[in-house]
Amino acid sequence: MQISITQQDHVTIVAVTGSIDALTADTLVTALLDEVAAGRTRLVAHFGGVEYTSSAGLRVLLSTLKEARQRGGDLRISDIRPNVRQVLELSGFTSILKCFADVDSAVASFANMSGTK
Amino acid sequence: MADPSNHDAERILALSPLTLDRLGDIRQFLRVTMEELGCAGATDAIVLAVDEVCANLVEHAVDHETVGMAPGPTRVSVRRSQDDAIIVVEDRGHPFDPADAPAPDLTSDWIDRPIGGLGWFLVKQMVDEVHYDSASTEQGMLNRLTLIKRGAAGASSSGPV
Repeated sequence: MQISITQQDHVTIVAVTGSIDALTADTLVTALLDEVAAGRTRLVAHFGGVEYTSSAGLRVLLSTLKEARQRGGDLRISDIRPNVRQVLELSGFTSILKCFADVDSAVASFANMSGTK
Repeated sequence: MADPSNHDAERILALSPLTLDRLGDIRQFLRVTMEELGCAGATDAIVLAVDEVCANLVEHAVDHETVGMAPGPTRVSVRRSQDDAIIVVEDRGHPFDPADAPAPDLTSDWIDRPIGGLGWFLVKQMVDEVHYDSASTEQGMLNRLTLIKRGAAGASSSGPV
């Protein structure tokens, strides 16, 4: 698994490539929570390169989402592949995590963000 | 290449020890094996189910002398019975019947949603049957988890995982 972090329009894009499992999830959650701790609480997880996730990836997403929202930001996700989307849907994550077709629309969605729900 | 005459042969991956850095090897073994068995359409489901099971074996072995390692050898076997894929995971850790896994929370709002607790739920979603038994042997506990994916040989790769 590889992680690449960039900024765009005051939003932090965390692009993930590879497989998220119980081994790699720790690295990812550390990277994401480090961003939140540094005050970069508007996050997009770009999942276009994620070919696989187990429930370990769900723990990462929910941990980060909670931290970000509690600090007035949010974690949103883009470019989810069908097999990963199915894991999110089965687990009830699509009702709490805002999903976007591509990074640009995920970033743009923060432009009119008025707090979190 | 898949050899249709060899569909009934059991494929085995022995892990001694099983650690989290072997999960990628296990998934690769399953991808190759499911293809060989003519069950490629069910690969995603089996990969996820077995990955969850094996990760659990490591993560819940924390009172073992060595944290991060499933106690004793772990064995993953895959075979095909007619159109069904049958996966057996044998381990030497503490017995845990997945029937005892608590129900997941899939509906709470984000602030109340617990982190974790979805592994066994996903296993049960991915396969049609989950059987578990545990026995005491001269070498210690032997736990056997059997996952059955019905119609794996006819499953479409674009269908449900």
